[in-house]
Amino acid sequence: MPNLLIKVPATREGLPAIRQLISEGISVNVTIIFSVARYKEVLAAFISGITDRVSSGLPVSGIHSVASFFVSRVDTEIDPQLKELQLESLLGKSAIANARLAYQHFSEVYESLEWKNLATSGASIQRPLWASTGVKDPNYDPAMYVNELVARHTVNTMPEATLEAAANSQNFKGDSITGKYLDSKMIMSELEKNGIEMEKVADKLEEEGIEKFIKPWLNLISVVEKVTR
Amino acid sequence: MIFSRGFDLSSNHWESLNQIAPRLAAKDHTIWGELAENEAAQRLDWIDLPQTSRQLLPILDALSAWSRELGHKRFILCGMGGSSLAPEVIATHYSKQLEVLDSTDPDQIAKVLAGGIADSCIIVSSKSGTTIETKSQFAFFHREIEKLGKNPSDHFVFVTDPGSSLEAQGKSFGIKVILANPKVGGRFSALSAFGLVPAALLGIDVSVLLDDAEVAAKNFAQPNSEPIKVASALASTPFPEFYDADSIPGLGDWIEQLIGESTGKDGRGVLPVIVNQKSGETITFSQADTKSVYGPLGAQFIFWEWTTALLCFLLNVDPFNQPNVAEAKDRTAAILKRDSKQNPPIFEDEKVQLFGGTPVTSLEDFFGRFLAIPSEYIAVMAYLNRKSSEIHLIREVLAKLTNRPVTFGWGPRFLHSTGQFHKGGPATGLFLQITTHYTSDLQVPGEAFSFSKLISAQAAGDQEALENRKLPFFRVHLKESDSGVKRLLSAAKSLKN
Repeated sequence: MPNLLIKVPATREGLPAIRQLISEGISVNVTIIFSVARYKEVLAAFISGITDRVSSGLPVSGIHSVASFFVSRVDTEIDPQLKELQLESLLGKSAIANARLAYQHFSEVYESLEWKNLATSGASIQRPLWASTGVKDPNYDPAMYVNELVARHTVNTMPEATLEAAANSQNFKGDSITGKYLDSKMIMSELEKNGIEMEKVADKLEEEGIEKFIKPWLNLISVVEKVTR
Repeated sequence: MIFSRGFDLSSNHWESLNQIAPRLAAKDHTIWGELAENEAAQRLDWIDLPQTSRQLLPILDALSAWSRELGHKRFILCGMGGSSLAPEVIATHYSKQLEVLDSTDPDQIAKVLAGGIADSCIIVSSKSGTTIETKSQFAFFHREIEKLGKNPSDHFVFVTDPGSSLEAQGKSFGIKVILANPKVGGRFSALSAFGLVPAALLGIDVSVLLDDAEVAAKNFAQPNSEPIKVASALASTPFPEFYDADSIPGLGDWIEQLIGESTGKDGRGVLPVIVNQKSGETITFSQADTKSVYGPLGAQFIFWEWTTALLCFLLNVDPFNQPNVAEAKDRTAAILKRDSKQNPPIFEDEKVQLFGGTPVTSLEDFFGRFLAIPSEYIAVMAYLNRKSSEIHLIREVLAKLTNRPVTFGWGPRFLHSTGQFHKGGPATGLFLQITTHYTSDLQVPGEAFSFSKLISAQAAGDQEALENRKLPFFRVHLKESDSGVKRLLSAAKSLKN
């Protein structure tokens, strides 16, 4: 089996595709996830795919998946609104709080009996992957989205500058997610109280994210067509 | 749905239970008082097993497909107490062959082996993974499977709690492990992996059990619901009789463990008496009888679990602990290291040896004196082969002679059931233990003891625990099992009341 993960966007339309691919034994990188609500559906689709295979007696070992949760774009979207509302204390905190709550759901599922029984059949969990972890605001610690999102089973993909910043950072302190769920919830409810709805933010970011994928996809297809013609 | 007949609402208990039932439905762990809170918080997931156990269905489908592919013809279950009683009822109810091995009797184990295990599926069930009977049986059968040149991973299935030593062992052997919800106690685990895995392997559609339980439980939190009625009646019935032979055979034994082990503590308790002939006051599972609880098997399980939890509230005991079971286990472990000290027999002939009390002149004399000792109930505990011995017939003989409630338990099986009541319930029992010389013996691989040494140590451990409480205890040791049983039965039958 090639060491290959097929990228599938976490749109509503993408969800059944995730289940289908996993149930066919194809490893999947689910991408552009912005909200906890959508992340829950993504993880559920992955588990349904694994369950489909287990109940048909098909092997599940060797199937891998990551759920790519986009981080910095959330702050980039929310921070200007916070500045307008004069809520400086919340600047640069929304993205991390959002990601931590996604991880809380992950760890609940990972500890569930349902998952443990699938794991004894040889299945590997779908790992949360922090994407878009380069800091866009020069006022922030350049390794912020790395050091603040450390926990078991996570993957962090980062641009080279962020990688170097993280390597040289003094702020690495091990697990920085577990035990911070209550704080994260409070941040999210502060945002909501002030009229910033995470669902709407996520919808907007998803739309923009899809746009960013369409052009490279069309380019890729035309290259493949040229080569195979 | 499930209904009861013949349980009237004459007691005052049902009013308080009407307040408690909705709290039970909401898994309120504070129902049984402060001392029980911590345990209860970890033990209430049986309430929603009819829903949550559905998560297991895909795994069970895969498991039965695996078993069919390997062509398993025999299904053997190694497990004690809650791990074996529910699977046994389910298998019997659906007319499936499940050989339940809840014994350390070497004759019984030898017989299972002699039946041929080359095409068998052996289910090893233990919540903790440390149950000495089950551990020893696994060690034994694992070696036998290897002797046949077979791969153990094709013949064993483990059912256990996440994180148990059995899970780790299964993983290291490459054996299939199904994990059960750890927030369900053993005797409440009928609808968890412990009940469902053996059932699914036998080809039973377990979703029917879950459906029936789910439908029935919907009404349990309503005022004057069926479990409320039955629990209020049982609160003033210390020794309720149960008869199951013509309806759901084995359900009585399952209820005996559930109620006996849950309620029998702090000097209080209700001890079910399983009878083989019904009278007007006997509880049955057939609509045709005057006092009965009738409904499908899945509904029966959840009904009696609810009833027991409510009954424990009325008796003011913690339904989920078993504080006095460990004592006999600990004493057994100690005896395995140092042997037990036994007083010389008070009588001996060519068939039997008798122990306890002052010398007697004959077996008949012994029985006469034994039965003259006042007690609220008599417990007969026989460490004999459950599959072939007729010793259980003695229960009815003694019951007729004394008009007292007489219970019968197979050792070591009852240690995981009524054994808690004997030691933790009201100190009003009179105890008769029956042991035997075993014709065969089998070594437990990796241990310093054989099965005959283990079962003897279990009997001696329980004897110590009972005698330590100053409870009247006597032992009949048979020099040969079958002829000894015949002699014992004829001596008991010769007595006049």
